[in-house]
Amino acid sequence: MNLEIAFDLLLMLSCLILAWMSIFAVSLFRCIVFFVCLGLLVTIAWVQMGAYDVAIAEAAIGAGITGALLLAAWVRIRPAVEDTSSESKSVDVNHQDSKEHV
Amino acid sequence: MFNKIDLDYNGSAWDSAASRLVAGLSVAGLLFFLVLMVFKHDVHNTGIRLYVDDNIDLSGVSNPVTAVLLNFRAYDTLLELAVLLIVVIATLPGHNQQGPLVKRMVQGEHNLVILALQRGIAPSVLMFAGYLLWAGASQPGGAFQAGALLAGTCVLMLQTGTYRINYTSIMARQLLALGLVFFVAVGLALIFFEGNLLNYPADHGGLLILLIEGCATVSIAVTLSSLYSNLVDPSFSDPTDTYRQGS
Amino acid sequence: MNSALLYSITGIGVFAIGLLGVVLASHIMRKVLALNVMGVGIFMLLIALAKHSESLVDPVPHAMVLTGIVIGAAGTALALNLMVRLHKMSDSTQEKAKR
Repeated sequence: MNLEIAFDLLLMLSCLILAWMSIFAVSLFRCIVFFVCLGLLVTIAWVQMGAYDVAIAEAAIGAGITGALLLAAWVRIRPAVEDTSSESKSVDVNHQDSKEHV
Repeated sequence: MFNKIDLDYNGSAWDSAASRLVAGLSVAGLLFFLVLMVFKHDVHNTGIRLYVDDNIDLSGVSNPVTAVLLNFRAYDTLLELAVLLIVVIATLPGHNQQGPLVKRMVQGEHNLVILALQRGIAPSVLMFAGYLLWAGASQPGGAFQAGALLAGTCVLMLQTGTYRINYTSIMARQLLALGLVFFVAVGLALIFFEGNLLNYPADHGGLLILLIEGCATVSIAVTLSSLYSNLVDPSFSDPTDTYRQGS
Repeated sequence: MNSALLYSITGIGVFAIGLLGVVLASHIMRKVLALNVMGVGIFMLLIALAKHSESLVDPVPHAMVLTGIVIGAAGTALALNLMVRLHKMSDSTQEKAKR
């Protein structure tokens, strides 16, 4: 097994693991960070397969613009951390959701 | 999972563990089927690669991806620009503000580190985007990559807090629509000259592709940065929104 | 078993993980992320199938993936806008209920 195949296998395994972590991680911030990492690793995969235009576009749009959009939406959607009185009074509609950190 | 087989059970009808198992099994079945299909797929000398290689001299550029994107499948790129325009219209702020395109805010909080960074980065990225646009004809590059680079720089400059871009002004609307309008105008004009929609003449193909790509670059850059800006700070577009940035 | 075949299997795996995420995730933002992961998997499959040998590359799937990346980013932006608006509406109704 030469170095090229080993590098490709490592890249593929990392893509699979990152895809899983990007959806099922503990907090939403970690999910976004793992998604940006997935975009960057996938850029290297495009270069390995000879798709150079797609690699430039994926690095700029897939990892850059989409990462900025996701972070901007996350900032607006996370529960307000300085308002401690409202957290105890808020209604627990979805009991399963309250267990995970958002 | 099998504890709920009980006559006195009044909970929800869907057992979450069982539904997860069913979802996992069906996705695994789909995965197995797709992998089987990929193994049976014969990849040698199939696809349209041979047609592209034979006709690439007629297209006016020598990069096959740019030739496919802007000459052989130019109609798809036109529809893609139209979809981008529709998404921007759907996310534009509701106000109809008349004003300058870019307003420089003197007071308010400025992020000094990003300000110092973008003073060095923004001119170099501008030049690099222009190079990518020009080199798209013969090397990896093109309109989308250059537009995305410009949008990234725009996002960086919006983060400093010194600029506020009004995407509903007249100039911004013209810039957003420029790519699609130019593409459609060229296509319609070519109906008169060549007989078919977007049928480039053989000797002017490269020039037309470069002009279309230039307008598309500007349009894509303003579109992508407007998508970011409307998500970040809509308080100056919607006065009832009390969201404050940077708290 | 060349590397293009392995990459296409990885692409299918990433697509399957994304599909599981769309079905099983609870928060809306995780579903949006899972949709994007599905897109990444499909792109990997397309580009892996476009590599006919070490030097012969089919450019038409590259153009399709390029279009797909841009439209995917725009669709994600629209989905995030809708999600933020949903969050704003449900938050404001909770505010009124508390007072």
